[in-house]
Amino acid sequence: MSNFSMAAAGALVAIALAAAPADAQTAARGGGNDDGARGAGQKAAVDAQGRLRAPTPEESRMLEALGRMLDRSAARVTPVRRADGTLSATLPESYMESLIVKREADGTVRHACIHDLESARRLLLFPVTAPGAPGTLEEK
Amino acid sequence: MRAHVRAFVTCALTAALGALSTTAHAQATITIVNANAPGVGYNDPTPAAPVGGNPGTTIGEQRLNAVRHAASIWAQSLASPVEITVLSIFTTRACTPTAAVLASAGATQIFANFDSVGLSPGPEFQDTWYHVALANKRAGVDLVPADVKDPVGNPPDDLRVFFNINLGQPDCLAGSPFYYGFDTPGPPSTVNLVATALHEMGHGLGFSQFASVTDGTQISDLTDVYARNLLDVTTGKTWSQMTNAERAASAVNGRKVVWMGPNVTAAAPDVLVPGFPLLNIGAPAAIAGNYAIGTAAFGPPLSSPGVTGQVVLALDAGDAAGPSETDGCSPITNAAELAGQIALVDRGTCGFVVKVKNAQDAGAIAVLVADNVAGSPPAGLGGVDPTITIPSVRIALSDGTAIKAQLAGGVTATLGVDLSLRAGADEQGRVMMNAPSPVQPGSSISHWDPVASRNLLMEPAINIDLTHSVKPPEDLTLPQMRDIGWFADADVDGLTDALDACPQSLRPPTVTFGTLSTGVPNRVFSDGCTTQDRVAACLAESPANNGALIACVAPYRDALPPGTQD
Repeated sequence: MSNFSMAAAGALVAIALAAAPADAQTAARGGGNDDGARGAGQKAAVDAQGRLRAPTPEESRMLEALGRMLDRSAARVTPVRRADGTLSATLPESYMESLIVKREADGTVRHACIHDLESARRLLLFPVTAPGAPGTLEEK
Repeated sequence: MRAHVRAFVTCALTAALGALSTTAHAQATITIVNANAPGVGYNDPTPAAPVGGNPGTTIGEQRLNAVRHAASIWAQSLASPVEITVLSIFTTRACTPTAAVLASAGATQIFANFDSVGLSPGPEFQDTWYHVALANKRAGVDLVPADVKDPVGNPPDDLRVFFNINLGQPDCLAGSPFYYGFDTPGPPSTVNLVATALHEMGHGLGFSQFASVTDGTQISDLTDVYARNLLDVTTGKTWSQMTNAERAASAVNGRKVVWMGPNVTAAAPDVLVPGFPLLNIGAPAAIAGNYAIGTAAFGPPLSSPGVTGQVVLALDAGDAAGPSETDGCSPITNAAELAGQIALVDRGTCGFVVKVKNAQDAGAIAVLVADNVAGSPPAGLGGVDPTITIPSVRIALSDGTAIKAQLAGGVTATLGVDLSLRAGADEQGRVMMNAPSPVQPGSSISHWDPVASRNLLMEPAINIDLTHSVKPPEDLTLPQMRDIGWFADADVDGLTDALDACPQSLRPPTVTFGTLSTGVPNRVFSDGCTTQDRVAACLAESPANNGALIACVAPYRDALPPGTQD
């Protein structure tokens, strides 16, 4: 399996785990308070009240697309050495930085310039107001 | 000197002054290559009223004007003898109704160990990757051979910048389209395209590194010019000195990775405002120092000099409100010990406002909430309670553990704003890079830490108070570019202005007297001056002494027109 498809598969596994009942119960117990211990490693989306929910089809499609776009593997970059000693390498599109914006249910707009799928997943699946959401109430 | 020779030289000086007047303009040529098909993207014929200084009368024109405007800002800031080409397209990017990829950008190629021509210095460091546009500048020549073509037969571009063509549509961040004006910030709910393009081009020109932030691996095990400026203050190593494992660890070492380039550090006081919220441990010496904190959305703001006291672990009943005896979820049981001191409680189970209010009711003057998950820098404390009158902050789990280990001997702390520090810089004035842990939105070592204030172009977010400047006092991106090797070169002769005896050389291709070209190549000397500069300088030194002027010009006689050499 290529690195690309492994990353995409990883995203799909994460989405699939969102529907796991045990995880859902765990997250539900954490809802409504500030206990973030379980939030940081969750594989599912969280609503504004901190309850686990399944990613929407749009979110799933977006994550899948981002998984393809953001896969950065050094192995895919093949440097070339010229006769004069110059080294050059052509960078694939995965080496581009991507600026993502998300509007929360309360109208809050969050930006994130990212180059990895995990960052995208956390931005898309965790609302800024959810208890335990990574990045909640950052310092500014 | 013959009268006609003086006339020629006088004209040369006039031409020289004319040439000087142009040097304030673009010192690099950045060309936007429109990759859209007819009728879409940059070629969208939909009529549009001019907006915010953008004179375009179609959507496509306005898009192209806005991106060219961003390119012109960079072109006026950087100098390069080699044209910079930017392949740009408005195309489909990932979307949902409430989220979207606005844009993606980056360098198309990287170079290391390249040669240079003329006065251009070549790479400052060997075995170090350079973004192609920077490599071309330092090489003094386009490093991509003319016969090299991209997969569709075009010469390869230096940067790629893609924008979301569907932004603002119902299924793509509905109602928040790009704003194409040249002004800032634009109407509420819109996305400023010029600011977005400036940010994205910044990545492609040099504000990015190439190692993996997850496993630390480098392309061909070579570092890059950006990574050479990244210093982890915990290890004392730059990213170029680290092992892969050390780099991966550093990528999440929040508030401990700084930019060590001298240009950024020198400019930071002019850009960043004074005042950094901090927890300072004064004693014991074993843990003395400043600690990162996350501020609260409730209670009074932190102030200077702040509040000082002994740190006391707040104890409460382990009950239904909270199973831990240090979670602060129930009334505090050691109020006598806590009164007048700084309370330490653990995160978890109940709301932050509950913990802080319980500590306040017990007489605490401030509260530290120790996180219950690893990570840094700490996030803030959410909640609302207008009855809370004492300051509170979150500290990292590791910091909380370290403090607890010293409580038996007494821990003295001050919680407040350190006005000796700039918002976003460390004690040495070095600007912090974004390195949150665990990986969070905006995670990337290729941005400034969002704690910076004023807001900077190369933070992870496009903030609405951004100007379109890339220079101090509004921004730090140009100093960062200087640090990686985009040296100032007003006359684009390849020699940095700092070493150039003629930093604004007269550079006609041939030595010229007024409108007369001698046909003699205008040579560039090793000190950065040209033959034309020498002749103009002779005239300036001896304006009324023909003999002296001839003697001065004599070494350059080969450049003079036939018949005027004696």
